[in-house]
Amino acid sequence: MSFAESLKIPLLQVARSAELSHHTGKTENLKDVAIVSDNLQILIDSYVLSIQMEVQGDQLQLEPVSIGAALNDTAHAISAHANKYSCDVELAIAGKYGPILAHPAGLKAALLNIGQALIEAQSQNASNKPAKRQVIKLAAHRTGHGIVAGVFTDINGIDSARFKVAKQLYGNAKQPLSQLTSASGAGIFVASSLLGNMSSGLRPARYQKQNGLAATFTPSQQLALV
Amino acid sequence: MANILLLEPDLILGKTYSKYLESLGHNLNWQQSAQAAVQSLDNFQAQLAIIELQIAGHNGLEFLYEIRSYPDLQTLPVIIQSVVGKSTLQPNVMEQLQINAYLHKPSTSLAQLGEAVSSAARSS
Repeated sequence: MSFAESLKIPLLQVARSAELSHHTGKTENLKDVAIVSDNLQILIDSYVLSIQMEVQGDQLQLEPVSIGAALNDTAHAISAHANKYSCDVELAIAGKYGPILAHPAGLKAALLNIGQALIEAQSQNASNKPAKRQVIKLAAHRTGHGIVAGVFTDINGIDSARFKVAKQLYGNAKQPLSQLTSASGAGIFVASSLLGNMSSGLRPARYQKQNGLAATFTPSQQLALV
Repeated sequence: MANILLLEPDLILGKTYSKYLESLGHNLNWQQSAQAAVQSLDNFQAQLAIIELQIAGHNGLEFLYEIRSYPDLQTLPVIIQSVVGKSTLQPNVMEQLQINAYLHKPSTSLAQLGEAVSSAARSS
C-alpha cells in the first residue's frame, strides 16, 4: 500500500512535465520525463527484488562482490539524476578491500535507491543555500566488524533514533522520514529491506563529518583477484 | 498578473509549476522549504501563495500559521495544492487560515491550477 503511494509523485512529475511540454510546445521537459521514468523503473524493480530476496530468506545465495566496483557503478548510474539536482557525486574508496559477501543485484539496487533518495532529500534541505553546489559521497571503509559501505551527504535529519521510528512508521505514515524528505522515502526502505538479508542492515552512519546511510558487510574469505 | 510565492519541495514539480505559471504572465518566487520561503518574503511582495502541506522539516500548515501572524500577510490569498487529501484537515481550518482553494495535487492539471490562481488573484 505504502509502496503504491510512493509511485504517485514520480507519476505526477511525468504527467505534469508532459502537460507543460504540450502547453509550451517545447521538448526540454522531456529530459525530466526520461530521468523520472528510469528512476521509477529502478524503484519498482528493486521493490520486486526485495520481495524475492525476502522469500528466499536463509536460502539467499551470497557471493563475493567487489564493493569498490559496486560503488563505482552506482556513481555512474546516478550521475544523470545527480546532475538534474545540481549535485556532484564523489567516490571515497580509500585503500584496498577484498571482496565482500553480498547479493550483487541486491547490493547494486540498494546503493542506487539510497543515492537517488538522498540526492532528492539534499535538494529539499539545502534550498536556502542555493550558492553551494551539493555533493553526495559514495564511500567504503574498514572497521573491526567488516567493510562499511554507504552514501553520505551534508544534510542533517538522519540519526539512529529517527531512522528506527521511521522504519516503524513506514506503511502507516505518508512521510515517515519527515525531517529528511517530503516524499515517502520508499527508496530508502526498499534498500533497507534489500540489505537486511546480506549485511548488518541499513543504518545511519557518519563518514568524514558527513551523515549518511550505510551497511556493514562481511569480507569474503575467497582470494581477491580484483 | 500576480506575484506568486510557490512552496513546493519537489524539484521537478516546482520547476514545472513555475514555468507554467510564468508562461501565463505571473511572477514566481519558488521555494522548497518553509524556512527559505519565510526568508524570501522579506524581499518579495507576494500577492498569492501556493503551498504544499507535505514538506521536509516543517509542514505547510505551520508555515501558513507563521505567515498569518505577520500583519501584512494576514489577507494574502492562499491556495493549498497538496498530495495530502483535504479530508485530513481539521474542520474549520480552511476558514481559520483563510484558504481560498484546496487542490488535490494528483488530480489537478496545470490548466486547473492556472484557473485557481486566476480566480484567487481576482478575489484579492
